[in-house]
Amino acid sequence: MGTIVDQVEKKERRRKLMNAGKTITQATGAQGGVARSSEGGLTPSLQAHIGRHLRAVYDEVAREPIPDRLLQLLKDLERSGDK
Amino acid sequence: MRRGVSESLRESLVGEMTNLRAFGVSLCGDRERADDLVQETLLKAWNHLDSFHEGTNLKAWLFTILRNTYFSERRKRRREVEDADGSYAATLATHPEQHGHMDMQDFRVALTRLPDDQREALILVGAAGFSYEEAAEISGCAVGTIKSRVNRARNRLADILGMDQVANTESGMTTSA
Repeated sequence: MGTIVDQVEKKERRRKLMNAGKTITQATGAQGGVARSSEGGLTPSLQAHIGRHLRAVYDEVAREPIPDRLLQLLKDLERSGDK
Repeated sequence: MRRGVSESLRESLVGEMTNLRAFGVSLCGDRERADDLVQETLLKAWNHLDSFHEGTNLKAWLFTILRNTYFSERRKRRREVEDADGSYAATLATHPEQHGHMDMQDFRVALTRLPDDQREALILVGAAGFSYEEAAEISGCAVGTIKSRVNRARNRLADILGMDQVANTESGMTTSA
């Protein structure tokens, strides 16, 4: 009871449990679930995932041609500005 | 003193319009409204071209005008907008369960559910290509504020998009401070 061997075993068991938890967190991170690193921030893979989606949403619009009404406005402004 | 707009400045203006639209749409989640924002931004920029120094960051200047326009308008119609947020939440709730798959449409909806200041910071840094320092100048706040907004935005997005895994509707009901 309470021998050093017992304590070492307990420590080992706790370490294994914590590692198992970490693995699960990383696995969900790869799939885009809510995964946090030990500091409470998101895992790098999830951060990258969010970044890709964000840029995709932004770039989709950026690639579209400028609507006519905006081009027309620019022309009108130029005409009025040169008086 | 007011001179005609130089050809190069005009070209730069046209060149930034696609970026301005992308910023506007990501910010308000609506193309029609975004084009109104871009239109107003152009008008304001044109009328204040004297205060713009050629050679400085035109893109940042235009983005600043657009976000100021957006936020002052947003303040005026806050109530209306809160209702809209409620319906967004409802849309998301009826989505079929998708284990770990982040769909583009889900992402767009999640983005609209972020608090304004967090969404703005995330777009400026994560999509529009500004540094934290530039983003801070555009938003009129400290660099540290931008950093924490970006972090909170990411965490919140992860929460919203992970919701169907956890089967938890709580975060959809929390309002931002």
